[in-house]
Amino acid sequence: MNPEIKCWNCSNTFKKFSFFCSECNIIQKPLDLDSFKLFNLNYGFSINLKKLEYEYYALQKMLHPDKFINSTEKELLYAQIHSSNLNNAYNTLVNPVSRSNELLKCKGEKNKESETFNDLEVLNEVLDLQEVAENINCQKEKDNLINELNQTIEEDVEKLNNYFIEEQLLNAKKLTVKISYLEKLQKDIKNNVTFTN
Amino acid sequence: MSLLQIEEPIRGEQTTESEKKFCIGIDFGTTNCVCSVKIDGNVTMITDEFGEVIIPSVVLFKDSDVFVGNQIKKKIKNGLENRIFSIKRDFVENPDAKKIYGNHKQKLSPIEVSSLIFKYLKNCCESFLGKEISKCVVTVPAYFDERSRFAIKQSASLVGFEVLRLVNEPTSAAYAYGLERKTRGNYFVYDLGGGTFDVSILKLTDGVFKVLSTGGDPFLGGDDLDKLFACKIAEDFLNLRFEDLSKNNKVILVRKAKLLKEKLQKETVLNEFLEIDKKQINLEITEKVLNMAISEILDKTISISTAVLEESDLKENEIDGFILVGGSTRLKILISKIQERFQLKIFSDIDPDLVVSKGAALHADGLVNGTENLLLDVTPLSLGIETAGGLMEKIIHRNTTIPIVKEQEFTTYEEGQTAIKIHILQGEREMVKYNRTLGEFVLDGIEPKPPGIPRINVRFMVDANGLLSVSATDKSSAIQKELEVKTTFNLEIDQMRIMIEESIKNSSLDMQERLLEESKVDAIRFINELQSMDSDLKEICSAEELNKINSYIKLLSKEIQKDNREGILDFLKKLDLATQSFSEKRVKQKIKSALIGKNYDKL
Ligand SMILES: [Zn+2]
Repeated sequence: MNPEIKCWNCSNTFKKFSFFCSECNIIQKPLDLDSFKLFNLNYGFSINLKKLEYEYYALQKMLHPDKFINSTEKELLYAQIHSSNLNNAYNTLVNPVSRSNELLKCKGEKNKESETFNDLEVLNEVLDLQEVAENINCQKEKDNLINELNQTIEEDVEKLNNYFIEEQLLNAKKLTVKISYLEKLQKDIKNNVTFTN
Repeated sequence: MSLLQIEEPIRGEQTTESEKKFCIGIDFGTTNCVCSVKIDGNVTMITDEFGEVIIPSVVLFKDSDVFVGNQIKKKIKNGLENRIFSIKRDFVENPDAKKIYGNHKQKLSPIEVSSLIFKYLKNCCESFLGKEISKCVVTVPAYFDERSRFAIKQSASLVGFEVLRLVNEPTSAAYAYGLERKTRGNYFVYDLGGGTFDVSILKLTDGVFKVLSTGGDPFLGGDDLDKLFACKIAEDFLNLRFEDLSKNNKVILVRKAKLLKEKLQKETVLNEFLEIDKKQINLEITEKVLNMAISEILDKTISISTAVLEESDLKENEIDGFILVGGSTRLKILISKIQERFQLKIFSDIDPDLVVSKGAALHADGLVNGTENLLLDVTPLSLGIETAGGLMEKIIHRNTTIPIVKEQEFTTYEEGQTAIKIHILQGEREMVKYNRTLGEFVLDGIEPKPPGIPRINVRFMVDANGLLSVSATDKSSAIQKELEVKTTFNLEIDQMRIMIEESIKNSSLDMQERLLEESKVDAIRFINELQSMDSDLKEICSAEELNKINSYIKLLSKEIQKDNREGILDFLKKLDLATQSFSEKRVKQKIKSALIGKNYDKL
């Protein structure tokens, strides 16, 4: 299914994308790959984050522009783009919401924000939580709510994982929206709730 | 795990010890400069002609000669009032703005003045090493904006330095600790330099130094402490306001304050004489007086540190230590303030005046001779462009790991518009006017089409130095414009304005038609918006209100079909009125805030 990739330097051809040519070791031209493909991961929601971090570092150690100071301008530019792609992809995969959205995109589910505005169920749940947020008046309550949200998010992420396993993409999409609201709410509480008295 | 099986490519032959290349690490500070280089596995501090490692960032023009650093103290007896201090501070304002410095007859820019320091540093390095050098790594305050970074690089390049990398000062310090002390874990770096204050949180693992978040204040530094103390001395002992002193006396008093500040770290009470205008004044000063004068500024640095910690998503107990950088961190009061706020182990065993340069030398060596280690830094401030309504649209958010490429699509807002202005901004504020302009350019030759149809792809690329380049492409016609962001010249801006105006003037539709088109776009958008909120409408509005709204929507649609601008505007207004109570109720139900997110600080 993949067309053959040709090394720009030695004309060696290979079937699967690789950062370096297996013949001449030269850095290859960056391709437009999704975050999963870039890290050679299966299209699944569950990811071993420790392993991902390790691979991210291992690849950056080979591809960061710092390693191409003595190289040609072309190689340096390629390194810069590879390194940037790795940064983007790593950040996308680390966060459950962006990972889910990326996965939905890879699976052909476009995520349009406007569609989700009508999901009253999600909206009501978030509104209830916000009501609670507005009525907190001491640090302890604030910490409790943040912890509570953490737990809800964790549970929802678990649920999200199941949806992906069962290929219930529409449900996955809805839940992703909810989690993103919860994360936003949590961040807002963290940064903006202050006590005047 | 197949990814890890990729072989490390061999680039060039392995260098033997004798063939190793030299690359200098330069800490180009507001008050002092320090140069060092890695030789035979160790970092060697480079000394000037007087054997000094710390070279003051001071320039003095005398007759037709230029004196730099310790040359002034050792060689010059009079005319000292013309010394040029803290040139790096002027980079934050405008590195290109020419003005009179000291007693120099021609106006100079901060870039030109600091290039004189770079030239002197280059000479020092070359006579110390006994060979010509050109490659270097220069450190910059983490919170320096893009324009100041570019200018520092330019300034060094002017005198023949090849700047391989700009490294953030706190990152550089952490690198030195990581490599020299084998430190591992999450570290907080507190860097109070002469003229800038930076904090960074780094994660050190497997030879990777990853900056998690950074913050600071480019206008706050150790020099401010000296000045505040000098003000206090002027008030308490001279019964004068500092501002009322002559320029020369100000310099004398600040130098004295700096000296006393350092002495007070060893003794709690001092009896000193101050000679001002040939008068001897007795100063009996306690540590308490010093602390009173500088407390407020130190508290500010502590609150910035707290904010950066909160932004990093790490809890305090996940931080393994607090690294102190910069001479001012020797202050006892500061250390106790830090210990009061953070229950963390403090690291200061690598000389806080030299640690930044050491890190730079280690990084410099890694760049030219290869290393297993890696620095992953972040961009300190958000980058974006101006969009309609004078708002800044952020494309790259602060604390994003670099290098980074981000693309975003924009479109036209005028019928037949053939040019689009890209106004590049840096900062955190929503309104354009509160952020810094990095550059502007015009992409013209866009095929004339209705508003919203052309797809202009804007690509932001921040390299590993934290330097930005922006390009824009019209996707339909593949016209591309690229630029490295530099200072904009007024002339260019005027030319751009003319180009934009021309493009609008030449658009295929006349004014009347354009106004009609605009009113239609507004009306359609409003109707769509209302329809998307259908369920909310039904829930919130009374049957009567709902009827009214629906009939106005129908009437408005008819006017749109008839191309009647007057009618459209009329029913838009009516519809707006009819939905006003809906909007208010809706806001009351906090639906809006749940979607947009809001501040809770008014609780
Ligand atoms: Zn090849």
